[in-house]
Amino acid sequence: MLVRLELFIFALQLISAAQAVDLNNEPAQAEHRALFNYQMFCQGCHSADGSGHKSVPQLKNSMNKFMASQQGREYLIRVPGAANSVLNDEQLTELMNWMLRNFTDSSNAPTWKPYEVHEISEYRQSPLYETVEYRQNLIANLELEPDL
Amino acid sequence: MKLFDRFFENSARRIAQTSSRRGMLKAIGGGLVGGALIPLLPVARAADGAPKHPQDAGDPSSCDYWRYCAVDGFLCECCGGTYNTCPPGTQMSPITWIGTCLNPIDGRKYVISYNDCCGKTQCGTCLCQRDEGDRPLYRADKSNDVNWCLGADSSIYHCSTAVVIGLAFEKE
Repeated sequence: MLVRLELFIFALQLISAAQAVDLNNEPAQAEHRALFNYQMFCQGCHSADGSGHKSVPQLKNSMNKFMASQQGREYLIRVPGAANSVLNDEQLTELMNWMLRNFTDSSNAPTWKPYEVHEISEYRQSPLYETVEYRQNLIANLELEPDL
Repeated sequence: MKLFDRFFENSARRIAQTSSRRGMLKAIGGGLVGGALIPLLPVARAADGAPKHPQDAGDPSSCDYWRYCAVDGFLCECCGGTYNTCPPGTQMSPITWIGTCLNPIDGRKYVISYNDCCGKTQCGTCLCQRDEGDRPLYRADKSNDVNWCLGADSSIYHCSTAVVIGLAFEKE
């Protein structure tokens, strides 16, 4: 009976440890991969917290506002940094959703639904050329804050 | 009530006859030791977090220092600053280029931000050009030939830092 009890305790611990690994390992890896891709391909200009600088657009509490419309949703993927990125569609999808999660204050309830790979694949086929002008027009059309 | 008494008495006697106190300790002890061994399994170790600070070795005023693997400029360590701070009177450029360097001590790659320090004339000491991972100017975000002080208040370049900002993602 005690041997059974011992095995039972061990099995319970094994299961909980396995769950901890399963639950934590893949999401933790995805989180690290997205952070690394952000650091390597975005952070140099957009800064660590997404606040941007001078002519570099702010991402923090800004990206989520564009996500309220289909045109804005497409715009975020058509900008040069995203559309021309060396990342593949899957990596870019993961990174864009990571940015939206990390650069939106919790007080700004998410009004966006995460990007899907097929969207990224489609939108990045039409990269923007006149990005500054396009952004200004989009902000006016969507009636967002002018200095966004 | 008697029924309860009899039931618990019988149960207690049965356990007492078929087990020992040492046996119980053995079972609990075995469970605890078994649980403690689980983190030694390779799958658990793979989930380990990244080290917060890299183990370090080498001379930060020498171009050979591991963090400088893609530097092209004067080392701030020799100019009144350090490998991750700017000398007094200069401003760290908020925009920069970012690469990775291999730390020979732990064999892991770290993400390095090569922020320039700006606002004073060139430091002129400890010129270092290693260029590992440097890309041509058409990949400006991965080029050390860009004057990154263009993002600062003054575009006058003084020296270069190499700030560790994280651990590189490597497929396991």
